[in-house]
Amino acid sequence: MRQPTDLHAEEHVTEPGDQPPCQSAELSRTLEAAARGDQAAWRAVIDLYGKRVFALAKSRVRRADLAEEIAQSVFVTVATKLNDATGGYTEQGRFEAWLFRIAINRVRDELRRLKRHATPTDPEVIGQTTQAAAANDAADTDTIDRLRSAMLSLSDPDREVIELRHHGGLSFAQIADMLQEPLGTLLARHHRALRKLKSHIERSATNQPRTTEEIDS
Amino acid sequence: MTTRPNDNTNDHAAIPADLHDVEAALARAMRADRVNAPVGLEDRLFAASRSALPAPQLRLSEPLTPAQADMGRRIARHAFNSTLSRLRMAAAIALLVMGGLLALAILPNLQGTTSSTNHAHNPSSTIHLADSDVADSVLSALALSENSSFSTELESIRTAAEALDQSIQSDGLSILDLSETGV
Repeated sequence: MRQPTDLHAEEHVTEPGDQPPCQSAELSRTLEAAARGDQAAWRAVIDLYGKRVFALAKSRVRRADLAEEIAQSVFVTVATKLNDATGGYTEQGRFEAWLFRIAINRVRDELRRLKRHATPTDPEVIGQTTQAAAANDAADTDTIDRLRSAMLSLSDPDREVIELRHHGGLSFAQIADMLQEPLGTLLARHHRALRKLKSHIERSATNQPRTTEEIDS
Repeated sequence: MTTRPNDNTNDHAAIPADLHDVEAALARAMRADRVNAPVGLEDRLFAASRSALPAPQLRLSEPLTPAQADMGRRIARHAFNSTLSRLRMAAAIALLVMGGLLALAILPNLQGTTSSTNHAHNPSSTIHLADSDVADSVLSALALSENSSFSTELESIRTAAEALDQSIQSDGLSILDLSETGV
């Protein structure tokens, strides 16, 4: 039987955060051990998903401190419910969907709170984040910068699909199940969101104004 | 821009070809977010959430090593002996307390029962009590009557009786002789 630390090592041997972990037998065993109170197993779970949850939160709230606070809240909730027979983690084999459902709900709560306080998005923060993110790949800086700007133009439901797919590493079927939408509807929404992003990037590259159709959508 | 965003191959195939480059750019941007996460993020997440985990449980499916089993037996024996000693001590204290309470509850009743039983089996004691009560009453009555006219009459009667007795004796008869002869 592989130990949780092996799972952790494998994550770092490949590329941390690049390939989303699937619900493998190792992950199931790690979750079982964590549910019994095994701290090493719980650490392995955090090593697997901590950055993903953080990145998902940060892409929405745009503040690292707030994103970390959200991530902490998410993992406290998961740890509490991991072995809770009533209302806890009962969806065996679907841990990722369960984890990111908690995360997305927590992010929504935070966004509602931020809207009540009417905190505008700070463009300087976005710029700093963009520079930091693209520091390792200067050639992509412009593309990623435009992409982040384009993400802000998407509606919240469209952004959720994009973020759950790329941060959460969830399949469309998992996202459809989580958001309780038909798979076809979700795919269509995802394609529409990608086309908006592509259009926004191309337009920003040529400094063209938005079309009436895009504004209406 | 040919990097696949994740392992969901079928999902990737479901995306139109002209959008693959956008999705690849998204994957790179979001991967950069993860790579540029704050240093020590996992440590802080672990520190914040570890206390929410359930208490560690002993896995019965994993056999114990002989040393663990021996230690377990010793701990269990010590705990059993300790518990037994405490139970013995508690039982002894409880018995003492109960005995004391029982004695306190019974002794006064025993005293009362004894006195009443003595009275029942020895009526003379009651009589003695009654006699002493009567004597006290007589004495108090006599004390009250010392200065009354009744005592004067008694004294005159006694004087008359003595005079009569002397006159009879002077005649050679006694009161007993008179009573026998019907005088």
